[in-house]
Amino acid sequence: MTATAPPEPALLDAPAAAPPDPAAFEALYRAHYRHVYAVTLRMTCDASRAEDLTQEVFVRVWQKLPTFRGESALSTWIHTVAVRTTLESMRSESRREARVMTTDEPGRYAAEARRAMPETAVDLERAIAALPPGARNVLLLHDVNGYRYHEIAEMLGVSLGTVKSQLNRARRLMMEALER
Amino acid sequence: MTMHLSDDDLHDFAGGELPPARMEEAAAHLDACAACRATAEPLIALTARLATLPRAGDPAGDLWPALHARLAAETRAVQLPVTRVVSLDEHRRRRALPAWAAHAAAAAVVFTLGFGGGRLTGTGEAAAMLAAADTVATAMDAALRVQRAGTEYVAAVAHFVAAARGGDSLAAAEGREATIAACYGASRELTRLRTDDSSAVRLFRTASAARAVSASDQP
Repeated sequence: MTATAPPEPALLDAPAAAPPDPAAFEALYRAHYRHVYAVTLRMTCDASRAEDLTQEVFVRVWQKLPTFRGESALSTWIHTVAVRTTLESMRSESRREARVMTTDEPGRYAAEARRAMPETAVDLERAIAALPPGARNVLLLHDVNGYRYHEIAEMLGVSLGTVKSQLNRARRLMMEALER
Repeated sequence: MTMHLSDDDLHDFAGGELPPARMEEAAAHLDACAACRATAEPLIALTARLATLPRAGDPAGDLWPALHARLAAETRAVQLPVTRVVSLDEHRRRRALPAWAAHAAAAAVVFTLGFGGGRLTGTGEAAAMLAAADTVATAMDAALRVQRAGTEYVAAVAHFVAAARGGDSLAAAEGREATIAACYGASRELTRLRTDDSSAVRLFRTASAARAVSASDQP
């Protein structure tokens, strides 16, 4: 993943496997929650769900932080927890009900995206929200968040070929939507 | 390269997924081939725009208070009863718990062992008061800070018990002092964090009294 790492608070000074210090954990949350919220918001296109998932991500980070081995940047690790948590939630929801986005939802999402990220490109956000969820996730993971094909295949539990075909499809749909 | 680039190659090029040598070949081909360039340019423009999208956003409200409450609940969920005496063997077995759960549990063990240590040292009154403070270490903050003191406390109790069992009265006396001091430190941390918690305050007073009694026993 090539995402830019935000500054990391000095949280990991505690002995290995020790639980996070609450004050330091709040500092970690403050340093990273905006990145986590952006991930969950774009993947779900739903502000309320994104807020719930942001909390869930940090509960998992809290639980797993003592086992974090520092093999990647903390920001990268948290980002991956965010993606995996959101994917799990989406899979769980898709098992319960087939969620179909209504035609006004991309517009509603685009408005929320503009509120949350004033500098964003609203036409892109609207086109992203209109993508089928599978294609949207692959596009976000690769073209927005900088994951590689093999990383995405591993996270989604699909083949490299599926990742490539989903990504190509997503880009085609994006270009069509942007030309309209 | 004379053949046109495939659709997959164009996507891989636009997404930076071709190996370096192939990237150079594809770039050279695109310089020379208007047909491939016409297909590649919109793709490249799209991926370039997507890469510049902001990667941080603000929720409508502050999520920390609710998250903090959830984390406190998480900590409480793994807490041990505090009025049980935990043997050293049982304490060792608990090391098999997930690390974060074991450490949260250690905060409660501090006070549990305080009861057991009190009985062994004969400070029965203090032990009874410790046992009565049955709602201590319920908050995440307190549990985590007390845990640090608890690590020292557990070690002090283990040392003390070994000395007492070995019949070394001088080492046992020192161990008793260290145990009471560690319990005092842990309860002080708890009180600082939970000034409105009457159980925490009661425990601190108990530990302070035990410390004072211990000091008065000194020759």
